Amino acid sequence: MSIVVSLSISFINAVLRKALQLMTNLEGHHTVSEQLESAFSKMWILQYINTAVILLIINNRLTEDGIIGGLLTTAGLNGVLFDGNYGDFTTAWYDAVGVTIFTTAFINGITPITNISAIVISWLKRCCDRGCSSDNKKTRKTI
Amino acid sequence: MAYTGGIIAYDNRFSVLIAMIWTIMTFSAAIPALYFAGILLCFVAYWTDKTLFVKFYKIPPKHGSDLAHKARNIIEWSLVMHLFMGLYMLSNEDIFTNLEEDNDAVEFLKGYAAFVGSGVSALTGVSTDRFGQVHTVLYSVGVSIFLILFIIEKVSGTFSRIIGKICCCCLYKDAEPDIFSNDLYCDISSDA
Repeated sequence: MSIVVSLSISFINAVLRKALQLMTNLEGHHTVSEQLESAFSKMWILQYINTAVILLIINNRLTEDGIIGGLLTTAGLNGVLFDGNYGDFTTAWYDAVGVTIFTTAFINGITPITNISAIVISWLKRCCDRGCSSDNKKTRKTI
Repeated sequence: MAYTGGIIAYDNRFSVLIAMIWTIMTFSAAIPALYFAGILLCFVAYWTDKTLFVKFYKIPPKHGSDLAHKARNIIEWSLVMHLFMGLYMLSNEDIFTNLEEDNDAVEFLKGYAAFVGSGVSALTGVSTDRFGQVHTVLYSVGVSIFLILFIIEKVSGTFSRIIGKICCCCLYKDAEPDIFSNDLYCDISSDA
């Protein structure tokens, strides 16, 4: 189950990144650096919330004595947010949420390897372009 | 050049790194295995990006080191999250049992530890008693020392200057602005 949750988190993170990248293009920054800075400033916050904060909001339970619990009670959200099964960081919490966090971190750790597929795809495209010939000078492209 | 890839997406790369480092730092005080995931992420990201940069991507625009510095500044703040989240997680009496009930040295610092943990207590509503355990008291002292040094560094940059002087060859290589930047408005302004 934790693997499914972790894969879902990683997938949603990837979708969020792409969506924010496209939206930042519309912001009309003067420089590429400004655009990139604006994009990643938003991306990391969303990904962090999606990876870490949401898991806490769903699984942990806070009392009304604290500021967060008090605000949620005032807003009428105390039954929705921070109303999970774990009142503290117990062994059961580590078994369920801790494992999910670790799996997500591990999946994100090895995900960059998939970028290498871009090299393989371009190599296959080149191979098709020269009709799978070993002669590197052959091409169908107009030079 | 017909099959050269696109331009490397720095925003994508930096955002993943920052988000994952923040996630790892948030929980790593009580889940040290996350550090291995962090090492794996840094190692894999470095080598795949380096390989793609050399063999696949187009030559990108000149960005300088501003983006990297901005990313580093964001990552630095994850230390504060790490310390306070660690205080909250490690102070759970059911897991980290306190065996030394009467420790005079720790008794002296109990109130102080409760003060350090008061932020966590105020936010989450947990009892301040949990911050009176021996290991939590020692942890709180460490947190305070670090925070004082962190604030000094953020306000004055003292430690960066010291490290910069010690390691002058490997830091601040691009302190001087580029003659040709990718910022047109900066280039044509009177200050440039």
